[in-house]
Amino acid sequence: MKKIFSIMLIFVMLSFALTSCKNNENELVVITMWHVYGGQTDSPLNNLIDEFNSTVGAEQGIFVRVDAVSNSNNIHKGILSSVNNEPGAGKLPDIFASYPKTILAMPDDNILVDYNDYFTDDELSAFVPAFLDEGKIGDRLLGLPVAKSTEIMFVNQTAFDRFSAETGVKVSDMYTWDGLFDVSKQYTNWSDSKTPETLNDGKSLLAHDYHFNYFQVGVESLNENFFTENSLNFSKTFGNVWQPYADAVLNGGVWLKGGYATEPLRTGDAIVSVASSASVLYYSNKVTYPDNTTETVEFTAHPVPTFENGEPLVMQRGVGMYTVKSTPEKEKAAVAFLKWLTEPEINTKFVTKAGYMPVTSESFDKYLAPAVETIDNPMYKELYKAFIKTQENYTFYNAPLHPNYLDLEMRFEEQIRYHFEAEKLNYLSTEGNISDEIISDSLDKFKKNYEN
Amino acid sequence: MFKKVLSAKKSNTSIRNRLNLYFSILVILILSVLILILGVNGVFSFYDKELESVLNSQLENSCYKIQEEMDVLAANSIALSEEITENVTSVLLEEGKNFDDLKDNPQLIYEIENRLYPNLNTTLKSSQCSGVFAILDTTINSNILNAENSKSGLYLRFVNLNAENPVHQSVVMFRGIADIARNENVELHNRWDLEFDSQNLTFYNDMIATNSNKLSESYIYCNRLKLTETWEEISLLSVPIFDNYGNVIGICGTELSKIYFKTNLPATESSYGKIMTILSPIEDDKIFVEDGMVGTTANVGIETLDFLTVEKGKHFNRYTSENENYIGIHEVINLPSENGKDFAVLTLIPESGYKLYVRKHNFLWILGSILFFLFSLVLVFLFSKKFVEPIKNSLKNLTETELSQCQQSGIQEFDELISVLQKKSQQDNNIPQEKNLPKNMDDLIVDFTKRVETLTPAEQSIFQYYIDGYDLKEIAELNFISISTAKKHNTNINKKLKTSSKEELMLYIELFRRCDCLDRISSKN
Repeated sequence: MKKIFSIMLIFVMLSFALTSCKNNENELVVITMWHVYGGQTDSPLNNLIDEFNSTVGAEQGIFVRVDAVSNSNNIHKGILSSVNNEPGAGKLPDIFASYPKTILAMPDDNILVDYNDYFTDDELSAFVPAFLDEGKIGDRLLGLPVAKSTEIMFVNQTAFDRFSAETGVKVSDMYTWDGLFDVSKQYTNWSDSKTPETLNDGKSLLAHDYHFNYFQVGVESLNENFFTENSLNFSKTFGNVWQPYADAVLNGGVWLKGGYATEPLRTGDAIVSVASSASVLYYSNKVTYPDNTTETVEFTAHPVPTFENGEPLVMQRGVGMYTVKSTPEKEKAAVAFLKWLTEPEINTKFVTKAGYMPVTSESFDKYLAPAVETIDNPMYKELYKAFIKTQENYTFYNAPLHPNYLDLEMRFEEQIRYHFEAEKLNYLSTEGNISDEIISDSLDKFKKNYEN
Repeated sequence: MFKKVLSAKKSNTSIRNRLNLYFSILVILILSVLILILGVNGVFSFYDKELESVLNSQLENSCYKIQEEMDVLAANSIALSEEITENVTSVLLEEGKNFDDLKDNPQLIYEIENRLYPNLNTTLKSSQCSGVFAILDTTINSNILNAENSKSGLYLRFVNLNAENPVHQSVVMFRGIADIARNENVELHNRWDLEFDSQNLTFYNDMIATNSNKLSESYIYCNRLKLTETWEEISLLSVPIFDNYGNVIGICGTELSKIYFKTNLPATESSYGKIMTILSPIEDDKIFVEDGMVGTTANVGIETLDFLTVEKGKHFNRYTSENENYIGIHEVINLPSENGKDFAVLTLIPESGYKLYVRKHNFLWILGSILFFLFSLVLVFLFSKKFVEPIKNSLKNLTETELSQCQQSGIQEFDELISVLQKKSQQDNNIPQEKNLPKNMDDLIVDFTKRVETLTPAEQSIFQYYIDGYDLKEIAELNFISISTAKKHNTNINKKLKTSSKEELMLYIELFRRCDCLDRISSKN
């Protein structure tokens, strides 16, 4: 009798084992993702995700599905509207790419996976420590770096050469902020002189992605705190940083309209940008002018300008990957994908196609240099040359985890552009004669408006 | 089995084994009849019917949804076309120009695009689409290379295609005059360009040359195409734009991107796997997947397919490709295409998923039947044991105790048997002629038995040796007596038993043996 029962038990267990095996084979764990790598262009990460899905993902029953490729601002808005349950907000993805500012603005960051639960100490020690730090909130590791970028100065060399040929200005003149702003004023005057029949139609030289970053890194590089406990430190040093900038802006040398710096360079409305190295993806070597004529141009890349008496400091950028808590299977699957993406060889392959820096020490030491050698695109070659110079000569600056960071940044970015659009109209009549008094007044007005 | 049943009848088989055998046959018969009834009633083709029902229901929903959305998009595109006609006419009248004057006139084109921007923006935000466009059959600069294919116009798209609420979505300008975007505080797309290249729109020239002047008869839904210089793929619902005289001056319409389509038509969970929806051109038995749109799938394969071949089936169709096969159904909807092919909505699941499901459930059926059979066998063994146990106990009781002292077993038939035996035994005691012998023989046996009882113990012992077959000499040795003493006992025995010789005595003994009554005269009992 016992034998019969044993046989029956084995049958039942076998059947459960067999059916569960079959289920695992059939049902993929689908991971949804919002990322920033290649919004509106060919996405190098999407190609890698296809590779993952057809190889490692297929073996492990994981399918990563990209539901949105956009810029970090749009992902930031999308995530916050989802977590705040705003009407019409979409469902949170399993993995999203964002800056810590998004996490700080969340009502509850406990909805995110702590990577300490899924990575061993050995695995985490493979990452460049400074890159990991940005994703730490308290003792939790919520953001995982997969690619890091920094700010780079891109120059439409073809257009600059024309300007240079007539004025004698050199790119090296723009290696300091004072020099860059001075050149920008000269460029505006020079371009204005090209159409004597139309007054004040001089073009801007410089487009900056984040004016807030210029002030933040500038002030910090001059050994002054940029932030106070709740707001910004409008110190004397801030005034020193403001002075050359305001002078150039009021003279029309700096592009003030919203959007990313790549935009005016594409339409020929500016020829120099200070932007994320990752924006290399979005530059096209074609400039389209208002009469629909196009010009094929060459871009060069350089480390960002510094202040003559300041420390060479540069903003470290690049979103981290955040995983939303769900089921253990989904969390494991998401982490499996991220581990694959940060494997040194895969990571190097990814970052060199997207214009980023890899995130593990092994990638830097072993894979990056040979990978750069194989790059055909001259703009990417330029970028990596600038990367190397930046790494050699600059210190990376990490934005602090200030509780009001996002609010301060967005308010500053909007107000400074709006402020100078209005100021420009006021001082247009001064015909380029911008006095220190006018600049000082404009700072006072800005401070007053900002602090209200 | 049958032989076993027959042999069970003949051979000396225990009741329990017989019961086991009969019950097992009964269980097998019941199981077979059950499977037969289930088979006849279509239980084993249940999956096909159920899947057909699930696919039909999904197809009905998808067709309704797609048809309704396409109708709304067509209506919105037609309305946009009419608004564009009105605005272009209005600007041209204000400026005292006609449409041909737009060529090489950036300022006038700016005026028109600026006027059209609100129309496009409103259409984009009020339609279930990912973008909206208006192309005018003119160009800002006819002197540049490829000017004949360069067309002015506006193309607005949503930035985050996944968001479901179009009202608060950020808009980006893909084509159009940059200053308009800046005035409207809209970003330029990273692959922005000033004008359209009509070569990328395969249907453009046909639509511009259309003879029909009825908008509702002139719209088309184009095949999937790649958005220039991006990773995105789109389809456009396109309508001609007429001027006041009925001439075609451009085209406009709405865009559905692949991502938008995916989020709008998610795969539906079913027992057979995820059911995906495809909207694709169809001709004869070919589904042109490369030209259509695919809803959300958990399967990269299908999106990269060129086409699927339809094999019609009873409950559903098979859709075969070089890599994976699918099963599903399709229905043609009313959607004009750019090349005259019909558009069909398909609901599909991977064939492998269906097969796996059926295999899994058939396996469960088989496993269930086996378990039922095994369980029935266990019950058969248990019941037969339970049935036979009191009989065996009663038999044991009977052998271990006197018949007269046998207790009630609780089994009616067995107790009746005992009762009968007890009665018989009682009769035997009362009537010595218990054996069924002839009367004279019976008398002889009874008389002789009574005479044997008169023997002394010593004589009884000698007599027993004779019963056991020993001769005189052996008897003397076994009893440790002399032959003469034995002979003396013989003489007494013969006298008491009224036999004249040893031969007669042995004859009596043989008689008792044959009549099976030896126990009556044997002292061994």
